[in-house]
Amino acid sequence: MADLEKNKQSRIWYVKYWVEYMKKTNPLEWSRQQNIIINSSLQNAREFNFSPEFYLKTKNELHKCKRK
Amino acid sequence: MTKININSKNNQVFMIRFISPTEIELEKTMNELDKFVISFLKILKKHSDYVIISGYIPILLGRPRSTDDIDILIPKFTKEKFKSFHDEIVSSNFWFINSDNVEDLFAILDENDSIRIAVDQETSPNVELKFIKDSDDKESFDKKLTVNFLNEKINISPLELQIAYKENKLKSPKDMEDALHLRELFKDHINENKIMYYRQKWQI
Repeated sequence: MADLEKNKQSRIWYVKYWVEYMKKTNPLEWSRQQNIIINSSLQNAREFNFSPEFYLKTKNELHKCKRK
Repeated sequence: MTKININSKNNQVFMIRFISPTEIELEKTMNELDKFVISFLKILKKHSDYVIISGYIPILLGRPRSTDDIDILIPKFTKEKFKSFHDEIVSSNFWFINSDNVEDLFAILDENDSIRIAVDQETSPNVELKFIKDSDDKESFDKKLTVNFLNEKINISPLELQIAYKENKLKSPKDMEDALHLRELFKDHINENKIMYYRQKWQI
């Protein structure tokens, strides 16, 4: 329980830290760092190459898969 | 290259700012998620007005996390209008994850459910598209903000509605942190009375 609270507080600290960093940093630099996170995450997702059925199942939306 | 925002404290370099009550100016480099969203919006805009809600808003505005779905609301389409949109989507290197059948897709939307659109043969990232169905959706749409970003205009839901929704309805750690990001970023612009209004509306 204490670990969970500690983790929560450190995440809150990081959100505030990041915004302060954005405010005093060249936008080309903070967005370069943001883009590393986003682009690598998208690249990972693409490499999994889920089928439509599997992807919709992970979203609890298999009932909306109308592929025959 | 770097602009200095003379409105910010101590002439800090900070190129996310309101330039009118309904317009935000954003300067940053574009990532793959932004490129995906903008390429989709170029098609959607030809067929409908729209508003983006939920997780992509803080991400567009600098939050260092990713998402695999972009939530977009549109006013109801007729079946004919949807078919025209569908045809342009599939001829533009996108596909509908749910089905290749336009009738099936429209039936899902017409039941106030969402359909997902991605780059052809991919599943992530994707746009989760749905019709406006309730008063919160309508408020997002009617009171939308525009983000001016590298010659593009991107419509997003009002920040107070997003903050209230994430803090009071969704409440996951990720959503609470998204809300905090928006609060910290726009400290001088967030209207707490509006957030209270939504809380009262939802009887929270």
